[in-house]
Amino acid sequence: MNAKSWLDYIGGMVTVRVKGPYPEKVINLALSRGIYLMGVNRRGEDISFSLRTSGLEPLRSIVDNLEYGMDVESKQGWPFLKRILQRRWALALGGILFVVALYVLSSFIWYLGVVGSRHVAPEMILQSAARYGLYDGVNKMGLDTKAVEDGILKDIPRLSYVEVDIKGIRGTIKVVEKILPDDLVIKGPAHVVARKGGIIEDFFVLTGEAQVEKGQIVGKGQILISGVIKPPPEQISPEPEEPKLVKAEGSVRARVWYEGYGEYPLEQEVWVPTGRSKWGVSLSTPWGTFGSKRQASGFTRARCQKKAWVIDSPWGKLGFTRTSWNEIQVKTKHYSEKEAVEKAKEVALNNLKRALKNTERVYDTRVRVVSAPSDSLIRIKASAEVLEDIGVQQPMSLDLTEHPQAQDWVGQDDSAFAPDAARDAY
Amino acid sequence: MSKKKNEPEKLDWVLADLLELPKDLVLDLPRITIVGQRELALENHKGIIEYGTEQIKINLARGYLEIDGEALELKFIMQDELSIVGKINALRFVD
Repeated sequence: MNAKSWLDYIGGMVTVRVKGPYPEKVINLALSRGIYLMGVNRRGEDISFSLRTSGLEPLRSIVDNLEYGMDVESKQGWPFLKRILQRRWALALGGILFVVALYVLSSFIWYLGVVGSRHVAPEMILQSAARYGLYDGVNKMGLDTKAVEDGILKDIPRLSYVEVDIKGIRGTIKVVEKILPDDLVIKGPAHVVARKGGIIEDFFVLTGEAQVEKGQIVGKGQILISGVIKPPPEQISPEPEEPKLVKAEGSVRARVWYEGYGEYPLEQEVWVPTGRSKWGVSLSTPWGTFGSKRQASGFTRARCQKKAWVIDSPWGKLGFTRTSWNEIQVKTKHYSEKEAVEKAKEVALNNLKRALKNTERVYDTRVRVVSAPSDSLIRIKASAEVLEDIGVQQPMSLDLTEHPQAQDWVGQDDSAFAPDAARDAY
Repeated sequence: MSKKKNEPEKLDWVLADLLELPKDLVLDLPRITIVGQRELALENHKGIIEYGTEQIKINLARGYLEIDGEALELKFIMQDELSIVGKINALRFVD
């Protein structure tokens, strides 16, 4: 709509139909009186055109003088709309209230979310944002997003970048986390020790001295590859050579055992719905909750389900809640021993599978019942024999009295042993 | 008679030419703008003589203008300006 159309709309427009032997005469007389005509159409013998409401009375007098006929076909524009609204003032008031409410409600942030967090919990970021004035239902007019961004960065050191993006009624906190090393890097001398007990299947040493043999049983924490390289005993050097401390590296694969436990009762009490149910609706307002408060009267036990349509308005919670109660009753379910064994076995194998996630190869799986015949439930233990690398690097103790020869050696070759770095590794 | 009537007009024309004045104002002549075959704007008219969808006759200071076409419609008309839309086939000045 251009400016002229707006003026026409505000002034009001009427479309008339002039009936007479020579309607062109009406056009010419209207022009002589300065009446502006638009959309002049010939309709058989008649002519229809639009004009501003201010020109309607002069036109009527022209038509009357000529003894022609004139019908008003349609009326458009604000003066006519105003008359309708004056008759229906409640409609006008409703429209104004709607616009005002829309404006007021759209000046708040109703939805707030966090994007980009991987290790830091979004709740933690939201809590921090709330501390600096950004939370669900806050008025965005007085919000200082820069202060919120700086505040979150100060509160959560794990974050390296924070951006608060507000679009309409939705706020998004975009974060980028710092990339930290997952584990401490061992820089000093270290042994390779057993993560768990097992029977050594094979091994190879990259650095260090092997302390185990194939087929040997090892326990948790036992040194598999030593970081202390002792000098060969048959050396014929006049001065004995001191042992070297290195960071032991290598792979030690062993057969280890995993267990999974599962149990299942022979008799079980289950809650089953009887089919009877009740429901009610309540209205939640900032001034209280109104409506159905009917409890599940007459039901021995019921399962309650609530479905809420509630929004956080600036004045508090506002919405509806539908509550339904379904009556339930207890029933005892009996299982045969075979059924209970199957169920317990399933649980035990699932637990075992969960424990076996990083293993290389499964050699053997066994399932055995461990419950007594008098027990009211079936207990199952599932075990698996698997092959896996059990070696893990462990920084060496800095107690140099254990290796007195190394005392002199420290400081001679920094590339092999850096005491500060080793201390850091602890 | 007509020769005598045309003499002052000829003089006006020469004067307007000499003084470089706009002839449509000095001589009360119509100014016509046509956009393709679809729209015609006319300034300095003297009213409508006949209005139909296939022919429109517009009164001018001297004679009238006959517009032939199809689905012709007066888009708007003011005291000295009008606009016609539709398919315009021919324009004819009639003394």
